[in-house]
This record gives sequence, structure tokens and C-alpha cells, in this order.
Amino acid sequence: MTDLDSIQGDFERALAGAADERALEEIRIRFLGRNGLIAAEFSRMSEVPPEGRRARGADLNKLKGFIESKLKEAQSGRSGPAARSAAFDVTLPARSVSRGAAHPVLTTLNDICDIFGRAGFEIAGGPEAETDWYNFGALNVPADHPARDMHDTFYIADCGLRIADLNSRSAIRNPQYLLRTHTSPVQIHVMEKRRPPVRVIAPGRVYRRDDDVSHAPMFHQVEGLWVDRGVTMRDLRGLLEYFAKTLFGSSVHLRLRPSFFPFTEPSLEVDVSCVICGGESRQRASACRTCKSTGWLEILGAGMVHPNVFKSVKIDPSSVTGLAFGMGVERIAMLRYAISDIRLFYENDVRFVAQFGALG
Amino acid sequence: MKLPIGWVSEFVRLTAADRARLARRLTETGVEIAGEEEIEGDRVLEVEITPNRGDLLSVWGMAREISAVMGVRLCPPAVRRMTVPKKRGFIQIDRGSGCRRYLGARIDGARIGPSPEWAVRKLRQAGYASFNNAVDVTNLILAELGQPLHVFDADKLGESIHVRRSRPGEKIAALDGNTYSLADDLVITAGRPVALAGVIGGLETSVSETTRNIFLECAWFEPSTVRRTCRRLGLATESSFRFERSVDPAGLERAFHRAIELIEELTGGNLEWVEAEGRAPDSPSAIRLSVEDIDRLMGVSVPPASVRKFLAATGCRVASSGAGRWRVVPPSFRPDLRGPHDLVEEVSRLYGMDRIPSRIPAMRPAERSDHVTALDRVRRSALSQGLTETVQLSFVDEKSLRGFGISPADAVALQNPLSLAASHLRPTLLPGLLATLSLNIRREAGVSIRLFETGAVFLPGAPLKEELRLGVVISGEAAPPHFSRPARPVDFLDLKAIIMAILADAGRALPETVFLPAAVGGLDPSACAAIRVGDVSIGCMGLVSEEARKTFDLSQPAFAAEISLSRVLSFERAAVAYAAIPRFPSIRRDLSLVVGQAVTAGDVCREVRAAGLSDLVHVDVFDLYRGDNLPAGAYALGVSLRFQSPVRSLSDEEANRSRDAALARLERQIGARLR
Repeated sequence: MTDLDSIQGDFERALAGAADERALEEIRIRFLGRNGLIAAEFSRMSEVPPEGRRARGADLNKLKGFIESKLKEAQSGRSGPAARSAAFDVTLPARSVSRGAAHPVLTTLNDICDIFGRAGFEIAGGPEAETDWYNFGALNVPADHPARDMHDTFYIADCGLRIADLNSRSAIRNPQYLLRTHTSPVQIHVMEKRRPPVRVIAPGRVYRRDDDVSHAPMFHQVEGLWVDRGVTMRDLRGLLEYFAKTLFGSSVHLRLRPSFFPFTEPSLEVDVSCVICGGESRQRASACRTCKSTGWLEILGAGMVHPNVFKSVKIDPSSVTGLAFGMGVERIAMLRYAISDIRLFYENDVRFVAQFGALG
Repeated sequence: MKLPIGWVSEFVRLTAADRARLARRLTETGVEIAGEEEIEGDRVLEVEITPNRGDLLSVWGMAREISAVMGVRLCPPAVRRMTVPKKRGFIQIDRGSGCRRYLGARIDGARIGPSPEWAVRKLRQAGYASFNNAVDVTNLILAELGQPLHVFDADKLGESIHVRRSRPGEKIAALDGNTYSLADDLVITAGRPVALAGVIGGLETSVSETTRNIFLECAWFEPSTVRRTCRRLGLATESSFRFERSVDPAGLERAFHRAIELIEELTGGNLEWVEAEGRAPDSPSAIRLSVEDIDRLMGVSVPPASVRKFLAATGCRVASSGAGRWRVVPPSFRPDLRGPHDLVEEVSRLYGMDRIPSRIPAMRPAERSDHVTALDRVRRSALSQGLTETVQLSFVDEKSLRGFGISPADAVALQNPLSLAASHLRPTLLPGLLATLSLNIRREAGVSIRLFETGAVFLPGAPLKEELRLGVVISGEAAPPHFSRPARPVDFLDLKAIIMAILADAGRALPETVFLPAAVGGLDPSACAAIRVGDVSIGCMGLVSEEARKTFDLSQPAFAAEISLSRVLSFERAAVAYAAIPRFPSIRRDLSLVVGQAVTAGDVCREVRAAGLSDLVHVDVFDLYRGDNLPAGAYALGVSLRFQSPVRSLSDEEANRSRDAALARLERQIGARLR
């Protein structure tokens, strides 16, 4: 009795060395012939203990089939390459496999994080359900401040206390939770844990009670925070210029306009020259729907960290300065891919998502 | 806010060139221009005022700003000084109630009727409707000076008014036709509440055609008091909008006298008396500012002379207190200027934020946390498994929850949802994925739909818990159709392969992953598994149940899986170490078994592994057969065993011995028989 693996090994070596049709025929006779190796093994079946015969037979048949198919393959391969190529239709459709597709918002979000990552900004995160303190109070938005009108907020019903908790003696009333309206609370979480210098970028979902063509009740933001000695508005401009040119192309330029955010002072809004018309429509009075012919697109809000924010996290505002910025990822993705309706992002039609490719 | 250029020109001299660059200059200095239109033959800008600049919510306020940012001369509105009898005792203010100052005037013999054409035109330009001459005056002053006013029918007020907090049970029928129940709100009362202070007047005391005598209110109400009332009652008026953003406490007299003058002019009434209660405004405190403060934030050395000029232009009183140091007193209408950083914003605004040069940061790659890297690996693995990434809203409705056998009480509810379809925060990713799957199938978006999402779910508790999860759903063909291969619908094992690949790619040191039969809401018990790594449960997968399919209007079978990434990522990062590539041949031995229905493939493989066979490297299933020619209650399972030694070639005899040992154990432990 011979080990079948070794027969197969012999066959494969012989086949690899076969130079022509005649050699193949010789191999056929040696292995499959009436007195060939396989036949010999079948004839020695009586040596196999009865309980193993069935498996041995199956293995031998399998090996025989293998040798037959390999020989057939080798013979057809040798019947002339020129004749073969005419027979195969290379224009037939490819036998494809399922391909993945990355969501354009998350691709854009990752790209933004990568760009800032190269400038030393680490990725940080925080919860989506926040307390009033993190979302507003610590960010210099006291209760009853009209700046809260800028953020129509979802509140979470007081579900923290369940029957079991009510019965326990340690039941403490929960602070009311809300869905964070911006990623700025991450500034607070980060500075509570780490002392300056700090360079972080915080991507994530945020929620506002809004729903129309340009507003969704949930969207993504990326927040940036850089706190150190000597950080100024010059650094803010430089950083954001680097960001905009990397993301939109080196031909874009920036415009800084004063604005208002409770957690930064000075506060400003940053526009890029229109990525569609290049700012041309303003001069030539040709209509550009993207920038409404203003030549500028608002892409983010920014500013220098307000001293009250530093005080919230017990950092002496006279010891450091900081810059902070925040941008809406959907808005940037819409500009990047010329998408006009924000709701397409959350509909997730696979024909929409597939347009942006698996690699994103 | 609408800003009629003709009206603002009453207070600033604008040349044609000034008018041409007005919109751009305002944008550069912080007032966004949202649009421009022509109303009643005049140019009207739509200006957007940020919440910190309540002082700009009037024509006069904007004139002041235009003068500051364009350097044009300001002509303040003329105020007539009047000598009239002073009344005492008509107005009473509760201390600490939220009303700092209250000016009242009684004008008798008014004839209420339509306003003259010029007044109607101005109101229309500023976006106000015309009511009657008395009310129109209050809106004209509101639009022009930003001071909210109110007129009452004096005869309905009685002998006195009281500014106080409302008492339990008090109500007011307001001008908007609604009746509001009050709860510690600041009100004007004349025995009963006649106005919600700074928000809206009462219907009963309002000025109408029959009114003869008018009581005019000009007051300063605390911003937070007004705001709280508005928020509680869901109200917002032109008046409350301005009080919330703080009106100029020093501007009361001007507005008061101008209003009296106009009411007399338009209604023909005569001023009887005025009364002033409350205290005069505090003078704003001084702020110390130095060139270093400016340099420190702006990164630019602004010449001291320019600093002084910019601050003076914004209405600040600037006194020098040494070289490059100042004592700055902001104007009464800028309560937002509280510290040096606020003054730096003013300086940078007038200097031109866009003029600040850039300093490109030094590039140095940031470190990536292990968590971020792991999540990225999961995402890329899912993409490489041919899944389409989706972003679902984080909300669910009660019906979807029930479709998954989750009681709405076990999900986090929103207090103020946008709609009933988004009443709760999702405790699982699957409802969103199934809804998306259903949409894609109904739209015939593809014959093979494979979706995933990574995101947070919200679990009730104290404190509320967020967990990061991965959800996967697949349905339709197992592979894109091709003429050369038969079509086959996806099944459980396709999804299992995806999940196992993603878990492997996550790069965590996970114990062996096991799939155990389980019952999970939303999944069919006939094909449903709990997924565990070691003794940690990390998720579930299975065939979507009929009930869930009905809930999501799914016309075809679908398979779904959900994994807790929070749990998976809590395992250590897997250390990858090279293992020698086997140099010696392997030997395979097969066992064709007949086992009872209750025995799973997992049981068989586990028992083979448990037999302690030396050099066993792999156990696999090569055949599964259910049908005829088998004992009742049994099925056939073929398992292959692969043996391989790292140090030598194994002999057939060794392999046979191991196979026999495995069979012996299978016979003993789970009653398997050779087929």
C-alpha cells in the first residue's frame, strides 16, 4: 500500500516535467494504464482492513479523477496556443465580486481628520448625549442666553431613573441629557483630561431640531482645538489655509469675516473662494448656483478660545491662548461632490453611495 | 432684519460710493448681508445680526455701526426736550423683579385712526404692518431706535400699574388671541395682568378705535427674564427679541420723548404727565487694554494710534494709561464688551480680520489612538467584504422597536422629537439598516444589497449609556450575476463569513469566536445565533423574522448581524508574530459520520479538537446530507481532519491512529456512527 499523497506528488512532478504530447501519454500509461499505479493500488485493496476499505476506495477514485482532469487540461493546453486564443472571447463581461462602497460623508470626515492629523492634531471623541454643562454652560453659553437660539436642541426625556433605580436608596436625580448640538463639548472633555499644549480634532455626529433641503436633524461636524503658548489668529489663518488648499486644491483662497460664537473671542467665519466658479461669477455676473454668485462659500466657524472656556476647565487664561474651529462635514461633502440635497446622504441608496468608490 | 437705506441715511451721510461699498464693508466687519430688495422705491438690505449685537437691531443702531466701520459722519436723531408735569405714584415696580426702569406717559384726547402715508411706507420698508396711528408709533420707534414700547388704553388701566412677578393662577389674554397661564413671569398689572413685560400686551387694554386716552410704556426689562417667559410659552415677538439681546439702558429717554412727540403728532393727543420709576442705568465699567493683549491674540502689532481710533469709532471712551495701555469704557449700548478679549475683537474687526497674515503650522504627524486605528480597520474590512457603508439617523419609532421585540420603555425617548417617526434614540442599528435595505429593494437598486453601519446606540440607564456597534444586513444574490455561474441567494453562512472576517481584521486578541443557537427579537429562531468570544457576548446574527420583515416592508429574505464594537475593542490589540511556514506535508483523514439531529457541526468539531490529537491542525466540514437512506432523526456529516507536524513527516499509521481516536471520542460523547 502506497501513500496516495506520494502518488499524487509523483504525478505532479512528472506532469511539470512533461515536454510534449508523447511525454503526457507516457505519464497517462504510468498512472492510469491497466497496469498503472492506480490500478495497482485498487488491486491491493484486500490488504486494507475492512473498516478502512470504503474510505480508501473513495480516496483512490478521487486521485484517479484528479489525474484524469490534470492530464486533459495539459493536453488541451498543448493543442496550440494560437488556435486557443481565437476561441476565448476576451470581451465577455468580467466575473465580478461584490465591491464595497464608502459613504461620502465619512470619507470626507476621514479626509478632514487626515489633513489635520498631518499638522499634529490627534483625534478625540465624546458622547453624543451630553449634559447641558458640556454642550452649553462650559462653553460660555449660560442658560437664558439668546445664543441658544442658534442651536435648536433635542432633549432626552428623563428616562434615567428606572423602576429598579427608584427602589434603590441611592437614586439621585439625573442631570437632564440633550443631544449635543455641536462637537465643541469635546473641547471641554479634552481640556479636563489634558493640560496644554493640546492639538485635537473631534469628528462626530451632532443633532439639531431642523429638517429641510439644507438641514438634517442629524449631521456630522469636525471640531478643532489648538491650545498652547503663543497661538494667535495668524496660526488660525495659516492652519485653515493649509486645510482648505489641501482639501479643495491649491488655487482656493480664504476670506475671514468677524462673527459670533459664545466660546470664542474674537470669533470669525471662514469662506473659501467658490470651488465651482472659482469666484469668477462675482466679477462676470455669470450665475453660479453654488455660491449664489457671491464668489465665496462659507465653510467653517472659528475663533480664539474665550477666557471663560479656559476658566470652565480650570486653565489660567493668561497662561495660554487657543484657537478653535468647527465645520459641517455634509456641507463640505456637498461642495466637494456637487450634491444639492443633504437628504441624499441619509437615504443610503446604494446607487448613490457606490458613486464614491470603495476606497473613498 | 430689514435695513432701508433711505431711512438709515437720515442718520449717516452716505455718498454714492459709500452706498456702493456698504454691503461689502458690513460683511467684512461682521454684519452678514443675506439679501437685498427694493421696497416702496427704496433699497432695503436684509442684514443678519449675531446674538451678541442687540445694539444693531435698529436703523439708528446700524447707522452708528456704518459710521464706525466706514468712517462717515453720524447725525444723531433730534430729541425735543419737553417740560411737563411729573406724576408720582402711578407706576410701582417690585425690586428685583426684572424691571430696572419704567417710563410712563399719559396722552389724552387722542384720535385713533390710520397713520399717514409716510409712516406706513417706512413701516413697510422695515417689514412691519400698519395697525393704527398709536401702535404704528411704537413700531416706528422700535424699528428706528430699537427700543420696544407699548401703548395701553389708559382708561382701562385704572389708577395705577404694578410691575411684578405673576401670582399662581393668573392668566392673560394676549394680543395674539391666545390666553397664557402665567408662572412667575414678569407682568404689568392693573389689578390683573395687562401685559407680559417685554413680550406682548393684553387684548383687553389694547389701543383701539374707541381709545381716547393713551398710556405709553418705555421700559428696560432684564434679558433673561424676558427670555425665560418666551421659552416657556413658546413665544417670540419683535419686542422680546430685542429685550433678550439687551436694549440700550441709556437710550430709554430718547425713545420715550420721540414716541410722545410722534403720538401727539399723529393722534392729535396731548401729553398730560410723565412718570419715571426705577434706577438710572449703571455706567459700564472700564476695561484695561494693552498692545500685548492685542498682539497675543491677533499675532499682529497694531499701531497704538489705530487701536485708539478703532475703539473710539465703536463708541468707546478711550483714555491712555501709559505707552500702549488704555482704560476703555464701552458705550452703554455694548454690554457685550466685558474684557480685553472683546476689545481685541473690535480692533481686529476694524483692522480687518482678512488682513491678518498667515503662519503655516509646522507639520508633524499626530499619533493615532489604538481605538481610532481599530475602528478604521473595522470599516475597511467591511468595505473589503463588499458591503456598502451607510449613515442612518440615530432615531427610531415605536413600531420599529416593536418589530425587534423591544418595548419602547427600554429605549431612550426624546422629550421633543421632530415627529413620531423619530421618537426614540436607537437601541440597535438594525431598524435603520432594514429600512434602508427595504428602500433599496423597492427601488430595485441592485440584485445583491449588502449594507453596514458603524455608530452609537443609546441604552437607558443612569447614566445613559452609549455603545459603539457594527450592523450588517445582506439580501438578494450571493454574488453579482454572471452567465457562467448559477444564481444563489445569500444565506446565513455568507453573513457568518463576513462577520468572522471583520472580527479577524479588527486586530484584537479575541478568544475563539463561537456561534450559539439563540433567540433574539427581530430574528427568526430557525436561524439565529448569539456570537461570543470566549465568555463575552458580542452580538447576534440571523435570518430576519417574518414580523420584522412586515414592519419594514421587506419582500425578500434578509440576514442581519449586530456586533458591539465597544466590547470587541475592549480586548487588547493582537500582537502579530511570525509563525514558521510548514515544511512537512500534511495528511488528511476524513470521517463520514451519521449523527443525531440535535448534534451540531460545532459539537462535532469541538469534540474532535477535544480529543487531544497530536499535530491536528485543522478540522473542517466537507459534506452535509439530510435525506433518505439515513436512520430516522439523524443526518450525515463529513468532517476532514488535517494533521501536520512542524518537525517531521507524519506516517499514515499515525494519521490513522489519530482518526480512530477521534472517531472513538465522537462515538462515545455524541453518539456518532460511521456512515
